Amino acid sequence: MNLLVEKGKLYTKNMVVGESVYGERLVRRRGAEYRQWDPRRSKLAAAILKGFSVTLGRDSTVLYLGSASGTTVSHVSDIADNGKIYAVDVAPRVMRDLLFLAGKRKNIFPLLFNANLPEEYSNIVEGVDLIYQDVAERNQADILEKNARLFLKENGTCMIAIKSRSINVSKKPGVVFGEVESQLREHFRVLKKARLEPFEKDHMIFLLVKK
Amino acid sequence: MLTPFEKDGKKFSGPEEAVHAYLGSKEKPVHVGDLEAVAISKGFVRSRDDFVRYMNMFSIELTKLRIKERLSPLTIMAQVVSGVEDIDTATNMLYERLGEIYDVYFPEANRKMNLETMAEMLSEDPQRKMVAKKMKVRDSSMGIEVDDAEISMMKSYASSLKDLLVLRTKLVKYVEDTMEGMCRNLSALCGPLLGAKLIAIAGSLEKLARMPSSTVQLLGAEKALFRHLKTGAKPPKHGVILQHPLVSGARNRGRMARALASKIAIAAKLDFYGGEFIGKNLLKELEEKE
Repeated sequence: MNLLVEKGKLYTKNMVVGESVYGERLVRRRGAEYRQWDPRRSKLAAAILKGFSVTLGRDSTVLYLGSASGTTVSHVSDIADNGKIYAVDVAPRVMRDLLFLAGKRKNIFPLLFNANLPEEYSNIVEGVDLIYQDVAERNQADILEKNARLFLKENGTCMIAIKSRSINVSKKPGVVFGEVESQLREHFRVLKKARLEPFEKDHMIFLLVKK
Repeated sequence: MLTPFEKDGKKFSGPEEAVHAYLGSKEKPVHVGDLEAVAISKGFVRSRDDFVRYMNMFSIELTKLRIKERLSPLTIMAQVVSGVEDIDTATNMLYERLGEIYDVYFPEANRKMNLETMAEMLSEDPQRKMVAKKMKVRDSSMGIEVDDAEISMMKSYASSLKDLLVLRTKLVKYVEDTMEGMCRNLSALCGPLLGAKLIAIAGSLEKLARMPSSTVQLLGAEKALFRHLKTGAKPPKHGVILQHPLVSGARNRGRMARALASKIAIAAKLDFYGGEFIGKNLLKELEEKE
């Protein structure tokens, strides 16, 4: 396992030894180099510290929606070092950062596409073990459903990070999360859910499997 | 090295060629559940490692091309507009600080200088005798006497300020020319700088062209809009389009903002999708409204 939890802190085994991706701390443990994984910068790290089981192995195939500049993607790439990460984002600006990251990490496949239109990349992405979604769109549940229908393997899992403020700023987060959950329950079974406080405000993360 | 592969009698030696073949292909693309297994069984790649390396290079090449498609000189121009604003902030700070400094030496002249004259005068020669003559004030002063070190420091300070003002002029010229060339309608309707500002806030001309006029009306007033949505405060009537003389000078600003926004929505669509030039007519229709 390339993931290490030590005194409430998370680390992943560095695939590119000696290099820090976004200024995170590098440490030596068990005779190898590890990169510290900050739960305040990465919702996946926060979720793991909140007790989510990591449905991600060394050989996993992952569809990562909303990869941004690749802060979290880099750690997923560490964990699934023998896997494949299809990293999708719409913004050219952050995609450039991701291209440089993918140049050094062969298991990352950067794709400039809109996660809302999975048909456009359905001939590139294959069946995956995990869909991780962190996009700031209003129809987040809808996006996950569309992608899961196309790409999620039968025994695959989904993780989705919901930011209540990008769905509706005027409603209370609890109300928004309730609505999203009932939307998700139409297509998925909820294995675990948790709010990400104190790491992240007004965020919730769900672990899901196909119904 | 990657395995070269064949398809329809054509040989592809690397991912770049594969990307071009992929983009040029007329076949309807299909989704393959286990792409890796298919690729290996068809002899496309030899092993998992081969496949991973291939997909990595393929997606990088494809994404490079797709990024290029989304960029144009307007992307640069949007940044330059923000650059002009950065310079305004910077020059104001430098002007205030230099004023504080010069006020100790020659307050009588300092009080009469604005940003441009201060940059001009002090970068030439900050000494009282010279400045007094040009500013037409007496050179006797309540200020203290200073050494060459202070004089030369003030001079360098002022030359940097002056350089920034020169740069600002150049950037504005660049924005004007770019807008004139690529967004004629928008430029004629609301002036090159405001037009460029709108593109910058929207993110791109394409995004601006796809916006409904109600959104255009409030671009730049996001804070007030969200305050309205969150707390029920009064909704904003206009965003940056307030900078348009027709809106800022209107008796009923909300009404004019609404009208201008709808014309901007039209102008942006014409500019992005390549339409005729009717920017001047749009402006005239607005002027008749007031």
